[in-house]
This record gives sequence, C-alpha cells and structure tokens, in this order.
Amino acid sequence: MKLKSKHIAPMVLAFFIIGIAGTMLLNLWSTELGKVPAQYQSGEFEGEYDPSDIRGSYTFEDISKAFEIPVEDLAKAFGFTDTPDPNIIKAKDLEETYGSLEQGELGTDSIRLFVAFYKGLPFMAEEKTLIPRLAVSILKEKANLTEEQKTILKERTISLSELRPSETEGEAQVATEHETTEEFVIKGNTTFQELLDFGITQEEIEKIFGMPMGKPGEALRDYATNNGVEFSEFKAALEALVASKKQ
Amino acid sequence: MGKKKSDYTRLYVQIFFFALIAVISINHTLAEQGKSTIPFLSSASLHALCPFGGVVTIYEYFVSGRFIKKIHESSWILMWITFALTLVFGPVFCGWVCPFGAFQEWFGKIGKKIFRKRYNHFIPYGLDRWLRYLRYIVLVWIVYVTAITGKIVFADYDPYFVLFNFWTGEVALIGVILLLVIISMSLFVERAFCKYGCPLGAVLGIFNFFRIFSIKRNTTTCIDCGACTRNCPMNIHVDTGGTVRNHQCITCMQCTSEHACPVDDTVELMTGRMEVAK
Ligand code: SF4
Repeated sequence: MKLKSKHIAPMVLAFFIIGIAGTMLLNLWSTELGKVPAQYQSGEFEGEYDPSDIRGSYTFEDISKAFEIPVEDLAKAFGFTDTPDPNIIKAKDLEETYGSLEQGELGTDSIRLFVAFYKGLPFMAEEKTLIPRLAVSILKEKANLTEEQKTILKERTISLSELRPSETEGEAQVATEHETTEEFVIKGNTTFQELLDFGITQEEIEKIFGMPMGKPGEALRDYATNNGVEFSEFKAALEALVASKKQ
Repeated sequence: MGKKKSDYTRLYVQIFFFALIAVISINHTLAEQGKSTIPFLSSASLHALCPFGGVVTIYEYFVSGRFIKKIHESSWILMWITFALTLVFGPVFCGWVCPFGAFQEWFGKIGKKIFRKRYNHFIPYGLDRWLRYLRYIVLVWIVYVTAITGKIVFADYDPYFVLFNFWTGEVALIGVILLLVIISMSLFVERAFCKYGCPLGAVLGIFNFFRIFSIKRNTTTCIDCGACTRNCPMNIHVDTGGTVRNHQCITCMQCTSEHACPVDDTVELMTGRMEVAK
C-alpha cells in the first residue's frame, strides 16, 4: 500500500483531532497544570509534598489530593462552608474574598501555613500572613501543634466574621488570642465555634438558649431563626457572659 | 517519468500548525495579562501543547503515578498521539507538524539561495554522522535531570519556547542565545536543531526502525540519478538501500517519486514489499 502527501495530511489531522476529542470526551484532556506541589528534596521530610509550593491556582481539591486534608476542613477553615462546591475554590480566591488587610494578608500563604501545620511539615509563613480563627480551631483539634506553632498561630489569628463584606462596617480586626479576649464581640454571624474558641462552654451556651447547641459552624442568628426565636433576645446574655470571661 | 508538479500539501500543513501554535501562544499571553482573549481558541501555555513534556515525565509517571511540575495532562496525551502517528508513518510529527522544524526549514531557504549546492553540505560526512547522535545525549541528560529534580530543567534552554514567547519578557537569555545560534546554523545546515539537538526528534527517530509505512526504493526501476539523496533535508543516502531505516528520517517525502525522484513508483512511502519490475 502506497501513500502520497494528500493521504498523509488528512491522516495527521485525523490522529490529532480524534485523539484530542476522544480524551476530551473521557475527561482526560486538560491544558491546565497538574496541581502537584514540589517535594522536599532532602532532610527528614524528603519526598513529601512541600506546602510552600502551593500556588494560587490550586483548588481545594488539588490541595486535598496532594496533602490528604479533607476539603471540608479547608472550606471550614477559610470560611467557604456556604459555597455549593468547595472543591473548586482556588487558593487565590481567598485574596479576592478577603483582600489585603491593614493588619496583614489572608491569602495563599495562609493556606500554606494551615496545610503545613495540619500535616506537621516545616514552613515559614510570610511576615504578614494571617490565619482565620476557625482554621486555628481545626488545627488545635486535628494537628499535634508544638508550643512554638501555637505561638505563631496566636500572633496571626483573625476572625473571619469581622471580614465578611456584609459585616465589614468598620475596620477588619486582627486579633491575637489575647486581643481576642479584649475585642470579641457578639454579632449575628458569630458562630458557635467562635464562642467555643473564646472559652465559652457548650453547657453555658445551651443554658442561655435553653436548647441544644447548633453545629459549630452555624451562625447564631441563623440558629435562632431556624429555631423560631429572636437572636436579639439572647444577645445581651451572651455579651454578659463574654464580658465576664474578659475579666 | 516527467516534470513533477509542485505539491504544497506539506507546506500547508506546516503553516497550519505554525499559525495555530503562534495564535494560541498570543492568546495565552492575553489571558495571562487579564486581557480579553481570541474567542473559540485555546489559551493553553506552550508547555501544554508539546508532546515532549510527556516524554520527560514518563519516569516520574511510572514511579509515582504523577506528572512532574509544569507538565500538563495534554502533553501526555499528545505524546501518545504522536507515538501512534510515528509508529504508523514514521516521524511525520517532525516533518509535517512541528512548528520549530518548519521555522528552521523556512529560514533555511535563505541559506539555500545564498549557498546553492553547498547548502546543507558544510559539515564533513564522517563528523556529521557522529554529531547526529548528540540529540540522544541531550535526551538522556534531560530525562535524567528531570527525573532526579522533578522539574522541567530544560525550560530555560528551550529555543522552541523562546520562539513563541519572546514577546512576553519571560524568556531566559540562554534560550534567546540558543535560538539565535539555531537560526544562524539554519543558514548553513537544514534543520540543524532537528539533526543535532532535538530530544523529541531523538525519541521519534527510533521508530524509524520498526515503523509500518517506510520510505522504500525500487532498485530495479531506479536509474541511480541520486536525486532522492540530494533532496533529503536530513542528508540520508536514500539511493544506497532498499528501505530507509535511518533514525533521522522525518517522513517529509521529499525523496519520493511524488517529489524529487524522476521515475514513477520508484521511491515511495509504503508498507509491504516493493513490487520489483520483471
Ligand atoms: S527525504 Fe526521504 S529519507 Fe529524507 S527525511 Fe524526507 S522522507 Fe526521510
């Protein structure tokens, strides 16, 4: 069988078109980068993925796959629990959502810090990197934090509830745990987790509301509305409790 | 036998792929700069569209099941498409598709005009024969260093990347220098990079030893005019054997009876046995 140029041309095109279209149909074709971070090249953690290589384009799913951290933890830590599909949230979305703050930055480096501490991997966060209080709570619960790491987190904690655009009437507040105690204010979107983080016990919360506490990530106002009560009825009692803890 | 009509099929295919890659690269730059892109056209990076990316990650993929950094799934798929194409027709990717090969070929036309018959014959055959294996050293070096570092180490040296990204300001000086060297060499040697430096060409060249469709010469009808050999851009001695089994053939078909060979049905791209005239 002999072939001429007029045969080769369509065959070349056909191979590429069929190959690309076929893999597109099978969902295998992607011209986006495989989101795989670099590995540590030496030392104790050699061969493990290096959180400092997480890029802004990495989705929560990419990070979850590489570091084996549940997407739910990432979504909760960075305040994306209301998002229909947190898998597709990109690290750089943090910057777009919270922006650069006067007190520092909540962005890709915050995720790097969270991932590194979650997995017990070495990492030096940038000077201005902040981390949400909910992320710190998750780390306290799931990671074996050293005293040094706890101190680092303390200095960089920020409350997401202070940053949500709808609530950002004043300045965003960065709070170290010490400052938190001084400045913690009860708002409609304060979550149960934040109350717990502040040092209020579940018993105390349930005593005020007179019913079982909601999910940790649930906002107080939503919880009240869902249970047919007015948030404002309980706000004063919660504030009094907070004030008593501040002393 | 008779005067051949000019056939521009391969040139059109080369122009198509060159233009496609050039426009996609421009689109990629526009996307990177946050500007509006050309509609209905990919804005993929050049790395995503080069089958060689797949080759350098083979080791990593089979060892860890992952691609190395900066390698796209599309590269991996393009590599397999290219391998399939090469298994059937030989390195048509080099001769028909590769925009960098086409670019060198077009630039070489200037050298051909200047040096005429001396063009593409400056390097003595004895030396040139050995220099052709340089691209295997390049290939082994790249695959080895990529495997141990897990990064695309050759990115900075890649003249192909420079050609389609020189306007971005993201190209390394060493890459620019290499591109200029290759352009200059193309004035003397046809497809200099393909012959001596291209690691993808090195891989695809191996398929020449077992490809399904090969370049075959009918030794009984051949008049030994040497036109096939003279017209081969890769300086292959087509006129000395029956089937071309040279690792440098790029299936450009310049040697065939469709182009250089003046005798019909004498040098063909074919499979099976060449019918010998009784
Ligand atoms: S001229 Fe013939 S032998 Fe030479 S590269 Fe082209 S197809 Fe191969």
